[in-house]
Amino acid sequence: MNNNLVEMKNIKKNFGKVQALRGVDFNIGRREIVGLLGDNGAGKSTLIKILVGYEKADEGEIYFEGKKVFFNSPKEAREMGIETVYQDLALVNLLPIWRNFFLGRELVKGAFLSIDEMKKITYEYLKEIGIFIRSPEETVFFLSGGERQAIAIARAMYFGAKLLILDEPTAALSVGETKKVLEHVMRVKEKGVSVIFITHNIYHVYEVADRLVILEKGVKVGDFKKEDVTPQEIMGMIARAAGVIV
Amino acid sequence: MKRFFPLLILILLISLLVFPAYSQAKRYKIYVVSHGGPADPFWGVVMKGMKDAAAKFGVTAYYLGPEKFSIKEFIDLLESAIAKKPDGIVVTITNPVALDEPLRRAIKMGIPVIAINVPDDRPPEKAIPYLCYVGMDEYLAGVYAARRMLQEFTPKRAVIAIHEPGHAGLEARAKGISDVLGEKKIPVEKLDIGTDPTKALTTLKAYLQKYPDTDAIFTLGPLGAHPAIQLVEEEKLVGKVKIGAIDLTTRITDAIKRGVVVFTIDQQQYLQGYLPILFLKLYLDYGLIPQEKVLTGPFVVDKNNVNKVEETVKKGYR
Amino acid sequence: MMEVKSIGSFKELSKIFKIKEMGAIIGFVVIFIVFSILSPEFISWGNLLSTFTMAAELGIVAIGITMLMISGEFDLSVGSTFAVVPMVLALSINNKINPFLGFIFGIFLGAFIGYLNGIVTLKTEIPSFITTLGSMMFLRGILLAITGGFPIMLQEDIPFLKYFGGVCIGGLRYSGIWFIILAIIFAFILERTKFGNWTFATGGNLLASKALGINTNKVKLINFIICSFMAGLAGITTFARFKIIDPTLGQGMELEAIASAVIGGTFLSGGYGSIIGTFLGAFMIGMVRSGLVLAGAPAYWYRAFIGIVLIIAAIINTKIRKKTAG
Repeated sequence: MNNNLVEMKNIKKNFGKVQALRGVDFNIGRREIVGLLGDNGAGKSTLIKILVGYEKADEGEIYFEGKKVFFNSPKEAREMGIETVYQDLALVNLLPIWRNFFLGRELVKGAFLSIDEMKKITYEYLKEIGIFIRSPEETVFFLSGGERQAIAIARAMYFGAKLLILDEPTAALSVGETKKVLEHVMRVKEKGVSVIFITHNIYHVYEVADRLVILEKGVKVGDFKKEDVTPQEIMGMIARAAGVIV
Repeated sequence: MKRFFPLLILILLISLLVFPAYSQAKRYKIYVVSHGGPADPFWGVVMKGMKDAAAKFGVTAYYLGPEKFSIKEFIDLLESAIAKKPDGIVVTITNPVALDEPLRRAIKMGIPVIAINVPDDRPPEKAIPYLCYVGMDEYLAGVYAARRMLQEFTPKRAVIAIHEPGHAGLEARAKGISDVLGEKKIPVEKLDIGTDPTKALTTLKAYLQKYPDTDAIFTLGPLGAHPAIQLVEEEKLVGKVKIGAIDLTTRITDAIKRGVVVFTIDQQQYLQGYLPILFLKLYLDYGLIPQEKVLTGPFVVDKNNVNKVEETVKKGYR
Repeated sequence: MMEVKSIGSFKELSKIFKIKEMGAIIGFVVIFIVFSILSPEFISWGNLLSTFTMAAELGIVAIGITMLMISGEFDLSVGSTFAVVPMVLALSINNKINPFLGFIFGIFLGAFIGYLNGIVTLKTEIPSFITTLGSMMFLRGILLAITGGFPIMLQEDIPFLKYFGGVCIGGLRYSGIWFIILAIIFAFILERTKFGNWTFATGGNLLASKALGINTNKVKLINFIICSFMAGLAGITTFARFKIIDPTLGQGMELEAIASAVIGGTFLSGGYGSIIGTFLGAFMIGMVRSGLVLAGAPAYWYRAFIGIVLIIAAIINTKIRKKTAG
């Protein structure tokens, strides 16, 4: 039964009078890519914030790898292997790739950074993953959006993420870049990592997802395996739930 | 990189056009370093004296002073002047302790130093060994002021309005006044009026109300004179309370003409810019130098000479 | 941090331009050449050392403010701290308190001022520009109230002060030595420690740094403390040189310190900068000051010239970085 990586049971969360989540169940299996969809205000980000320890649920339980967990901070979630890659909040543009790669987890010898080692690891790991950079010293500012996403994802994987949460990874990317990012996401799954793919773009996530979960107004309105549903049907569901007559 | 060279040439050309010092022939180079900045009209007169003397005696003179009063900037400027190894330095000994080391170093390097405006008042063993001092004697200014007032009449009671208690120069002036009046057993007292004109006015007014027999007010600078003039005119005490001032402004000369102020003492700071240039030239050429002090003041300005004085103020000589 | 590489191929040469201090280095060389041409005394040891002393007193403050700016904050109160800390030292000496105690107390006061600046800014979320503007005025007011507007003169000679303001070898003052040592120390801290990386990150992208688990408030707070501490230390070196505090000491220094940092390549917006660059920037400002005097420029020109230098330096820095990007 419990081959699930993450199980969230009956999660409820209120912000004052607003009921953000009204008893949501959300599971992610191992080596599974789950697309999390829904209109703005549906509760997607609240659900994820609770999962990563940024917020605390009012009611409900979370199980990680079969054990009940309670995260007090994002740090604890990260230690368990849950990493989030936000759109603009992944990398520091003014810094070189290697500094970004090891940000917050720098390698040191005594009091000093092991700079050469970090540069080497960055370059080689990225190469292994299939991301080719000219040099680890290159400033992130000069990379394309797709390259930045790829590096942020690679970083999470390097540091042993078991569950990767991607928040709108393809927004603001060109067609070519989007393709590259989706390829990376597939590679992530190959490496044994599960992914939650939050997005508005059903077509992007449909390509890579194993399952699709739809939230609306704090309630789960759909949980489908990819084979059982088409992108158009999903869009229809979201629109109807949002009150737009289709 | 290519873009830099035109920029560099441009900077060089502008600098060459603008800095004539670069192309000077061999003339004596003298630096006048003062704690007073170029924007202060008092020091503007000193600068004029310096420029006029430089032109007349064929010397190149530079004036250096911080825009805002700052001991650090003043001394940094002095250090730059010393680094230039000039033929002479003229400097205000605003703070003998802070100036001691740099000036002794300059003198050791063979640069002649003349002090102006503020002397080193420490005992001779400690004082900086400059060649001579050109400026006013503050104590003597007070003495002259008291004596000139006594020429006018014998006050029943006098008050000295001091706007910066503790300031060495002002205290010396006050002492000169009270010593002379004290000899004549005339009651005299110092009053702290502060530097704010409105407060100064109120303080003086209160004092006059408390001691209605006060018939002489001594002020030690424009910050005291201007409120005193205003007070005497407003309270219609012209003629009943006589004002004696130190330092020169057009408001004071105007008041002298109208009989509100009896006299003022001028330190003739033009001479503090002019004479040291002449003295240094003579010293560098022939080794001649006046000793100790050359007093540029006190000079009494009263009804007899105020018109002439006013003209020279307009021309920038006072 | 400068990396020494042998100049072999063109690729190596273009790598040199990637040194982030390159803009400052070029500016430094240009200014040096210009003023040396205008006045041969400029290159004399006497002048260079006296210029370096002026630069050191400003530069120590600038190093501190560079760290803070890179982490994304400002401190406009450094000029006031620069005067208040030595004032405390002077008062304790004049009141027969053990001068070492006075010194330690003064130094800690400097750090504490930084701590307060930081805590108020971070807890209330008022921009540091405003908080420190307030503390600048507050401290200056206290200075004026205690001194009554009069300078405080050191009444005794204190031997250990020699190691801050006195002359070391042939014209080089201890303040210059402090400047060099502190520049090296902080360059290392900034470029080669975790804290340095966090400082860059906090200033470069605050939210991303937080998301990665960096305690950005702590990073900023430490930099606030560093900044004020350095300002106090610099003030003591100046005080040790002149043995007098006038209440106007340090006024305007905050802007010169920020200018040194910007000329040296530090971004006003944070996240990018260099201690070595600031070192050169402060030295450049000192050179402009003494260079103008030696070149015979009228006294008024100093401020105007610094303004031009600042703008040109900032332009050069931006252009070089754009060209050597990636």
